[in-house]
Amino acid sequence: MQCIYVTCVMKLITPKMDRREKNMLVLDSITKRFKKNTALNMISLSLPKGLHLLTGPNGAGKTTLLRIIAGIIAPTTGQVSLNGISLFSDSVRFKARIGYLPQKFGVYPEMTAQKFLRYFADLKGIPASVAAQKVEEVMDIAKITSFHNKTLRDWTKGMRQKVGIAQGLLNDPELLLMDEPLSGLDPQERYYFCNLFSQLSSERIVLLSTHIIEELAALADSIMLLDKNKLQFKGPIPRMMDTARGGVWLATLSEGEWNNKKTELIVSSLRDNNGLYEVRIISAVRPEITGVCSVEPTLEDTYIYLVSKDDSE
Amino acid sequence: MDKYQEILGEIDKDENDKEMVAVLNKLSNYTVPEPTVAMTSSLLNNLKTVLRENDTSSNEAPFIKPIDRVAIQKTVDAGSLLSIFRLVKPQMNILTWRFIVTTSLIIFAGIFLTSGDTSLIFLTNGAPILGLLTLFYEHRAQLYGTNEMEASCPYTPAQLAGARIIVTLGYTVIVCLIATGMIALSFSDILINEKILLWNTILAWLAPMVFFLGISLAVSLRLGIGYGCGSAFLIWVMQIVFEQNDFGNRFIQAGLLREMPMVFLVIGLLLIAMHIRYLRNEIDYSQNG
Repeated sequence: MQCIYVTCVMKLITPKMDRREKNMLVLDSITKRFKKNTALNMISLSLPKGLHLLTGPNGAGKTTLLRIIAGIIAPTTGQVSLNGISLFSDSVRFKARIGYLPQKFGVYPEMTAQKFLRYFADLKGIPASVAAQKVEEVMDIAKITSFHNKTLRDWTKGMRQKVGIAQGLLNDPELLLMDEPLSGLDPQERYYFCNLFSQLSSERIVLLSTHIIEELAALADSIMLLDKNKLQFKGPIPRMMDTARGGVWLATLSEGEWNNKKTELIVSSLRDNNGLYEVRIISAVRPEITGVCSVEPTLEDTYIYLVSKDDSE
Repeated sequence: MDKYQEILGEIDKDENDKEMVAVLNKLSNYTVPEPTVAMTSSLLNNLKTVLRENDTSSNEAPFIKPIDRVAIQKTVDAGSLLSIFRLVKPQMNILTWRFIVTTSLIIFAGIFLTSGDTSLIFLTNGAPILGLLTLFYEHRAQLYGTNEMEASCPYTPAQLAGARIIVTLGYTVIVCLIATGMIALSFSDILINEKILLWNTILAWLAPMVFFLGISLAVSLRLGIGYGCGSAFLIWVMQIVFEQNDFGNRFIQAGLLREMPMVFLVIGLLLIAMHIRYLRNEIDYSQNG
């Protein structure tokens, strides 16, 4: 009886933390400074299973954040944990659970894709008895099987990108970190890999850093906007788009009007329509233009709205 | 003609399309032997992989077989020396056959083309360069940009560095031992009559090689492997220049260098140990933001 009581109490107390951190990537107050330059400032977030997009302007700190989570560089302060396993106190267990594709990466040019992936299977500690099978499996998923015998020297950037993605999948990761994984891929391949990431996210946390948010918007569970070294937004995409509601305007301007106004407007898109310019303007207040009307924001409008909002503040 | 209609219908062409009918007429005149079953199945086999890869419409969730993470942890965590030895095999794959053949041929050709104690001098001066070249080649990851992917793997930078040093030392020592054997066989007078012990001959090339490897690894901690090997090479050139001038000659003849190989060997080993120890303590070895 006492035993049952103790078990119940233990279940009520200790697993509280486990339940919260199960299938979760938790970042706690991550700050990174490079000499005098602060790259990331107090980033805290929790990500459950699903597809999450990390976006933001160049230099916002996206790559630095992914490199910290992948254990490539250490943060100045803060903690990273995956499913309750801390990166800094148990890096072997942590890294055994992640797959990472850097933004810029190279290959050993004299190796074939098969040999290259086998090399990484060994580096990931995958037992030799299953390594060959895992290599075949990820080559099949990344659709590079028919090129397996060609040395990587002859591969295009897009093909190498697929090898990089395959490498990230070798250890059936619980957390998949991909920095600009769609760069170098043609539209058809991008479509395939967007779907692939979405499907993979049903069983794991997939965190993609990308500028191509429109293509992934329908599939993503949440989006994070990193700007000025801080997390400016985190949540579902519809909620992000709500923030720009009432801040996007459509106006039709003559060439002269456009030339007069263009320096003072923040524009998300511009279309030439038989000598008249159809302009989507980002502004928290109604622009002083005749005939301007409020329109529903697109994802791109929202992105520009949020980034420019910080500038004006 | 019914066949024509069927084909033209399939490709959305009018059955009276004169141009297409002419093409079909022309095609009908060609006679091609009917493919055998073996030919058809061979063609299908060749196409299957490509067709499957191009089928981007598939919405089937990819199945990644679960992996035994406990086995991974055991492999990586196993007593640090054992785990380093497990890493040696993949690191050996980085040394290409072309590199092995070229470098060892240069050393063996040098021994072959020199004679007497010149061979020994060649080996003593050549071993550090072979060591530096092998070290640089083993660390190509930094040059090609595979190092980030490698660093995200469960093995620590120290384990990886340890394995690479073992491969570098292993390969260089094997080549130089064979070269020593060649010298001993061809010019046995040097080793027997002048009573130079084999150990001293080995120490003569081993010490500078380990010393220069130690320097390059120590410098690489701050400046990367390229600068590490470059600075060690510069010191090697300075040493050669020093040995060639009068002061250096007097220094050597005075016998002041007699005890030096052992000192250089110890310094080199200490620098290598320092390199591994530094990597064990530091995760933030890459500061490029």
